[in-house]
This record gives sequence, C-alpha cells and structure tokens, in this order.
Amino acid sequence: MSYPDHKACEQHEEALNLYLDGELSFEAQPELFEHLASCSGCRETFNTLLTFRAITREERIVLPMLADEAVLRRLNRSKQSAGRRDRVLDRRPLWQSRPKAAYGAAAALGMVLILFGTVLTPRTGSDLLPGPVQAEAQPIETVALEATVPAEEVVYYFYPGITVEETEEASEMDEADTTTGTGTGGMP
Amino acid sequence: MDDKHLVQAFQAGDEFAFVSLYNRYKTRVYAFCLKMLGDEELARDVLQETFVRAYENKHRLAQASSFRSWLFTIARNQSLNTIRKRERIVKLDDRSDAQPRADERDTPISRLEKNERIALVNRFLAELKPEYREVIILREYQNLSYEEIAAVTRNTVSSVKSRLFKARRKLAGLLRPHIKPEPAVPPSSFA
Repeated sequence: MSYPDHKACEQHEEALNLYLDGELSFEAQPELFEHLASCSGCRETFNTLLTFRAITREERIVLPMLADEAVLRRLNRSKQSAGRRDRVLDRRPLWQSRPKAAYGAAAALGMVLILFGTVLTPRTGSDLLPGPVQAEAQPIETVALEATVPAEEVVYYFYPGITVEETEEASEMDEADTTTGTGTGGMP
Repeated sequence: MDDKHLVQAFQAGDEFAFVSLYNRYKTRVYAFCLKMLGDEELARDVLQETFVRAYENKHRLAQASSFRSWLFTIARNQSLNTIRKRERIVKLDDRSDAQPRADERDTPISRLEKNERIALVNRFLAELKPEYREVIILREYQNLSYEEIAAVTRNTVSSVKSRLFKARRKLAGLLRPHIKPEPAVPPSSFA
C-alpha cells in the first residue's frame, strides 16, 4: 500500500500501528480517529488489520499428540549420545590427549635443561672412568733382621688385585728391555 | 512456579522443571513454527530441535533475559535455517497455494467459513518475506511486545517497529480485496 497523494496518511500510519499494538498515548488518539474519519483508505487499512487480527484469534492450533513422544525420545537420544561422548573421552589413550603445553615451549624447556646440565654439572664423568692399567712402583724399604744377610731392596708392583714382588734380576731385565724398546711394560 | 524458578531448578539438574517448561511453551513454539514454515511435519521437527537445543544449552540460559525470548530465538533461527534449506520447495508451495480458490476470490472474507478464512489468511501470510512474517507472527499470534520481538530477532526496537509496520502494510494490501469495506466506528469518547 502506498500513499502517493496522502502525506497525512503516511504521518498517521505509525499512530495507527501503535494504536493496534496498544502503544499509542491517550492524548494522541483523537488526532488518529479524526484522520480515520476523514480518510477512507486508512480506514480500510485499519478495518483490514482488525479483521486479520480477529481471524488470528479464531484459529486454534493444537500440538499433534505424537509430538510429545517424539520430543522426549529425541531428548533421550541426545542424553545418551552425550553419555557416549563422555565415555569415549574417558577411554582415549593419553598420547591422543591434547598436550597441556605447546610443543614449542616443551622443546625450548628441554633445550634449556640440556644446556644447563652441560654447563653446570661437575665434570666427574671422565675422572670416574677407569683409565689404562698402569703399574705403580712403590719402593718399600725392608729392614735387615740379621746383620749377616745383606739388605735387599724389594720393589713391589701393584696392579689391581695383583701384587708382584720384583727381584733384582727382573728389574735388570726390565731395564734392558726399556733400553732396547722391547719391554713388557713392567709386567713380569 | 514462574519461568525464572523453573529455569533455576532445571539448571540445578531438575529435569522435571524442564518438562514443566516444555509443557508450558510447546504449543506456542509449535504454533510459531507452523506459521513460519506452513508445514506440520517441518514444524514438529523444528519444535524437537528447539527443545533439544534448549536442553543441551542450559548453561547459556543464565545470559538470556527471559526464557520465552530465548526459546523463540532458537525456534526462529531453526525455522529460518529450515526455510533456507528448503527454499525452493517452500517457494513452490507458496506459489501454488497463494492464489485463493475461485469461491474465495468472489466471496468477502466475512462470509467465508471459519476454516476458509483461516486458510486464506495463512496463504497470504506465507506470501510475506520471512523477515516480515516473523514479526507479524510474534506480534499478532504470540502477542510479544516490541522489546521481546527485538530480543528474539536480535534487532533494535525501532527496527522491529519499522519492519512490523511495513509487514502490516503489505499484508493489508493482500487482504484488502477480500474485506468488505465497512464504516469505521470510533470509540464513543471520540464520536
């Protein structure tokens, strides 16, 4: 509906709608009814809308009986599927669960730990490792118990677990080996 | 018990409260969907979807100002989605049904049988654009205030008024040929 020649109709259209909705103030109503009395077009619109409203009030809409059952069944399905989702979450293995921290942050933390571990840890590793087996010569002076027996210098070679007494002959042979370069490294 | 207390009980885990809310609003929501979609089966589907969503999203209900507006918002969105999905079918149905039968064209609406009048009005209602139809239904059939319609349609009150007045203008244009002109009878205080 248009109002090509009726500016007053356009101005009163809002008042007409507000009146239909019960929102038009009591003071503004006489002006609207004066216009309706003089304008057949607006009166017709007014009557049409009142008729429409009367017809909407005549209609009785009843919910089909099966609709309740369908809604409750649907609600049950929804609840059951929600329960299934929860159980699936419970069964999910840990490696599939979402990490709490970002992978980047975890990698950075690891790098920092490695760096500090390298720098700050006391270097005990190489010291604790057993080196090559070397003989240690410790001269032990023996005291001559009898004046008649000449004092003999005995050299004990300590190997791990083995103590070997070196006699003069063996030491002479060792000295000879060292000079010729065919020594046994002190081993008897 | 009013809506607020039922909603609080439902949020606390009382499922009987939700059933009470369902019984209170099921017919109104169904009527809204039926008028929006013009199809009983689709209206039942949207009714189901509306209450299932309300049930599943009860934690979001605290933010909604009123349960009724919140429920109609869900129903409205679901109806619009259904209309979009089946736009072609609905349009074809509207075209085939929009034209009144021969007897309805010739007879003033006041002389039609009640069911015929209702059918005619429904056909013209289906001819309106969804954004006009929804405000007409919410105002005329559901008797919601401007503010409630604004909450349901996520619009301002002034926008709702504008759309409602345009929708009425359009509907009046469709119905007018079937209304027998009658002299206006102003209220006695202004006569």
